[in-house]
Amino acid sequence: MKTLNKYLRLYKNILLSLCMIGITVLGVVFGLVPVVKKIEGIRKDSIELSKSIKLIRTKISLLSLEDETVYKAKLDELLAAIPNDKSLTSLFVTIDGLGVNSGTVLSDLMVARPGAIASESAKSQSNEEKKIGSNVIPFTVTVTGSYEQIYQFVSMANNVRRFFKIKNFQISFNKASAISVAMGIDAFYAPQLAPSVALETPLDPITEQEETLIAKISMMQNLGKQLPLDNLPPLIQTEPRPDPFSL
Amino acid sequence: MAISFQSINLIRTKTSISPQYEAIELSLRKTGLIGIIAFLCASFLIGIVYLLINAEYTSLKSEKTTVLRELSQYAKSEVYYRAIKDRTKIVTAVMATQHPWSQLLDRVTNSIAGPPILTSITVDDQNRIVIMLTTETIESMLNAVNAVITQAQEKALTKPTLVSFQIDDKGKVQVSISFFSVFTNENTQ
Repeated sequence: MKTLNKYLRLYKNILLSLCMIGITVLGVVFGLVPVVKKIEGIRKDSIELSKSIKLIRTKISLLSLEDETVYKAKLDELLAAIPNDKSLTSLFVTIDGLGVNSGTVLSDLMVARPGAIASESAKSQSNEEKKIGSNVIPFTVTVTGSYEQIYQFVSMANNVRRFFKIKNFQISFNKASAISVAMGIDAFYAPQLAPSVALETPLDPITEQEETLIAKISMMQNLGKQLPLDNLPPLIQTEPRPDPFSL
Repeated sequence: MAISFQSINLIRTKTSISPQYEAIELSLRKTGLIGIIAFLCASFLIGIVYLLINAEYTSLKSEKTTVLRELSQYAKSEVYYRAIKDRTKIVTAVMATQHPWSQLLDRVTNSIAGPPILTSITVDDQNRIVIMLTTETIESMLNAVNAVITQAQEKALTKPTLVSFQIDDKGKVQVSISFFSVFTNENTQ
């Protein structure tokens, strides 16, 4: 004990210094380093937060440019050209309207794949469909009229909503008056995928080119537009017959 | 000076310390002091930085909550906006596949030959165009064929190919020519 005391007394200063150094080292290792790491973490989080706030502000500024109804109207214009579903009604109404507007007579309209038994998700897309990102409804129609009327039909087919692509046709000029042309035409539809509305997902601005495209489409004739229900003729009301099987 | 025997103490009261040890002790003391001071200063500074950064982080968090609340008012608009962006891509791709066949009809009837020389125009799924021409004389046919060659030279059509050539007993000439039309596609964006 005496020896220990003697040594403690002898090395008191050096031990004190070593304790100070030890406390400093421990303080750095267990105090400062974790705090610095935490600061670094908070700084990174702050940078991320700043970025995300900037992104959200950009989104708000983009979205506030126009009213919700304007965006909806623009989308409706585009959906009239390429609808979400097969919308055979709009297909028939548009092709019929084309016939009426061009003065041609349409016959033998045949839709190749009017409806699939499997759901749309089970339907495999062809390479062409994958390329354009849209499904195709091929159909054939026979267009009868004069050359000028056929010409009118062909030139109008690219300028109507809904969109058609004339794939093949044959015009024979043997008969001077009426020409019958069998045409293979594609109509398009693209199911709307649920858009990712994750708050952090950036939003690209609608470019001038896209605006021009929407404006161009809205200028196209919408022959497939269905009449509002108010404009439909009233149903003819008839007296119920006492015996529905009687002649 | 007289020294009494009583004041003489021969027992060593102090242990002698070597100068080397003193130097080490001094240096350790200095290091310890500097270390402690540096640690305290660093702790103080880091503490201030932590407080500042934490305050900024808290304010950013509350700002984000505010902007998110603001953004939620545009949720429907965003759905429409994204749908517009997606749909324009599809529409552009579809429009690029549409061919203005009226341009072809104009080109054939105005620049090559119209009826009655032009008997038929056929377009197949691969966009290959076949025109059938019938003339009374071979000279008239040459004019039509030359028109096709001119159109090819003007890059209005490509790969012109003579599919068939026929002369009947009466000297009536029938020719089929296939080619691919080059469109100045108005629809392509």
